[in-house]
Amino acid sequence: MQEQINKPIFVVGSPRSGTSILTWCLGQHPNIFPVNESTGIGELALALAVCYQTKMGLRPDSLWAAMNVQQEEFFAGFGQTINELILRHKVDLERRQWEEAGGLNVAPSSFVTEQSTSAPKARWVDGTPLYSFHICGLRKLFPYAQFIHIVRDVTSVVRSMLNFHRLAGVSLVANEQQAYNYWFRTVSACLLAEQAYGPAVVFRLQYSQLVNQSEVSLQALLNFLGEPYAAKCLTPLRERMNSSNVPADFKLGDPDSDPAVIERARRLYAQIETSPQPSEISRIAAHKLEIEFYERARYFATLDSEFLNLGREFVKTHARAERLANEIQRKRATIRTLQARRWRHKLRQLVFGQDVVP
Amino acid sequence: MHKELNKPIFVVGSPRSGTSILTWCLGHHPDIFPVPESNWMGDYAVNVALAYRTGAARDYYSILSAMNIPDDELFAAFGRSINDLILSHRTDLERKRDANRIELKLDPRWIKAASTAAGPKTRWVDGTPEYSFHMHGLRKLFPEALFIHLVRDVRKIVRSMINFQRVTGIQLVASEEEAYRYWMRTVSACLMAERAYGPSVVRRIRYADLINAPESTMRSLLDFLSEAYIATCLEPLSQRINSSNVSDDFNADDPATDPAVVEEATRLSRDLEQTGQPGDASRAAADEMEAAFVRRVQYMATLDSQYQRALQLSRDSANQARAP
Repeated sequence: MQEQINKPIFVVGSPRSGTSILTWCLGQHPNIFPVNESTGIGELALALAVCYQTKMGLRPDSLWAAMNVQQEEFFAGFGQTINELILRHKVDLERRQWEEAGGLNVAPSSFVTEQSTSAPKARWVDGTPLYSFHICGLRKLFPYAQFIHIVRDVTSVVRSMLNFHRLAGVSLVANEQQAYNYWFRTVSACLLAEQAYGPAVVFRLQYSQLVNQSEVSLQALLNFLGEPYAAKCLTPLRERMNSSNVPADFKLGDPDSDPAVIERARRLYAQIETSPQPSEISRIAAHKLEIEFYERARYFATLDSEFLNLGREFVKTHARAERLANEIQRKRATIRTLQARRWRHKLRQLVFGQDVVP
Repeated sequence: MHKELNKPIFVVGSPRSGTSILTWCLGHHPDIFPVPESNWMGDYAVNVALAYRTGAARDYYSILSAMNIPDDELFAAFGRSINDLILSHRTDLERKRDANRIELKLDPRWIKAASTAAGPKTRWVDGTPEYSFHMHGLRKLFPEALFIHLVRDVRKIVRSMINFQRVTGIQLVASEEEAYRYWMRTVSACLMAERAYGPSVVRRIRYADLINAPESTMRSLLDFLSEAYIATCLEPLSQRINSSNVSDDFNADDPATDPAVVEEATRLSRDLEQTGQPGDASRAAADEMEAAFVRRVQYMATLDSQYQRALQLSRDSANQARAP
């Protein structure tokens, strides 16, 4: 069997930055097909880290250590499995997309795949914004994966986030401050990945450039991905780009928002606008991401026992509080008895004179 | 790709039931090699279930549901990954075992019998006793896996568990009562799996039979595994089994142990000596195991937020306590 290509593409960045539309653009390419947001893969990488590191221990006779399975191979083996699953089911996905597009009017038997049998699409692109926080883990699963960090001006993103419920029926964020914070967190995570892995792995794309200079942007992007340019990739931009869901009269300016949070996000966007992405790889940034990844894995590895400990602690504290409350009640009762006795003594003194024995 | 056989064998049952020695016995078969106790695959199955929940949460908008990838295919694909990794690294295992044989207290003859020089070794056997609680998850990862439930007299297990600490320094249980309870828990979990999957998936073996009638027991066991009988599988039994580390005068009779716990465990142990395993698989028992697995997944799915809430509650109550 021919070895399958395992070079997925992840479009990352803040939600409402154009991650979906760009995923669809790339999905028009003859060698790339778009998958829906996959979300679970990031958590799976963490779960694998937990299994590899914590559960197996480092004893010489523990399974992976004894078998000389290095971490890189361990992760990549599972990444290969995910890649194969996705490639195997790509026609199912295409059929589903075709059915969704045609609604109830299409007969399932009339579906014809667009996948060429001579040159089938060999790579997939995923546009899950949440993966901005999982780039390190995804690189472990897919060592040859490439990432596109799409960045859009924070004000437009915040406006779009706050109006998201009009489009999807669910809210992305509870308020304006949370929207600024969300943008800041995702974009910061992507900027750190840019530094850590360099421009051969992460490509920064300005949303404004994608809109205003679509052809040039996509040419550069496909060049980064090692794919020939295909004008078809521009189609979704022409059809969809103007379907903004933000009403023209919508204004930002929630008085409850912390101005420092807004300022921090705006300052970061101003920096991004004026400075290009770093051309060199920073070992410090890569190390930082690695540490964060394993810290998170450790957190999940001990979560179950920590939660149980907390529960036991809570039961103990609760029992102690009950004991103390009972003691207080007993002492109060004693005080009341003593007070009553004192009162009776005073009364006797009053009635019978000073020499009454209490 | 994926031409490799994916039919691992798991030896389950209470710790100190002979799971290790039986693993090594099977590892002497030319088609089977023993792997070190792994003890993470059960949790991993729960994590794959969590990933599936996330990846199929929003029907068309989620990758797994949109691609018509059913959960059993996802589990089996990850199970194959584990199988492929293990099979492709068996020679590394041999090398490391050989290099660490003194520390691991391994007989060179065992290492030789477990090596690929002794046969094609297309299957592996894992003797992690804790997998007694994870058989449902393991079946999801390895749909063709076979399980051997090794069962031994509870009194002997309790003696061995308590004595284990004296010999190795590792505490298996804190008290005699806990040893009885641990035996009950593991054996009950395995009995449930026997009912759920039937004798073609789980085979119960009595430790006493393995010792007293090793050849016929091994023949029946290898028949269950669809492997040809080979006498070398009996070798570890003759070399090690008599090296019991419990001295004859050692008495496990802690007055603090609840007699009801002892009575319950002893009764179950006696029953197991006298009765065979059920002849058919029970759909109700399988459903019960699936429900327990789903409950565990549900618990793990909300654990992070529950933990954070509990932390907050703990902080709030500490602040309240400090307040004047």
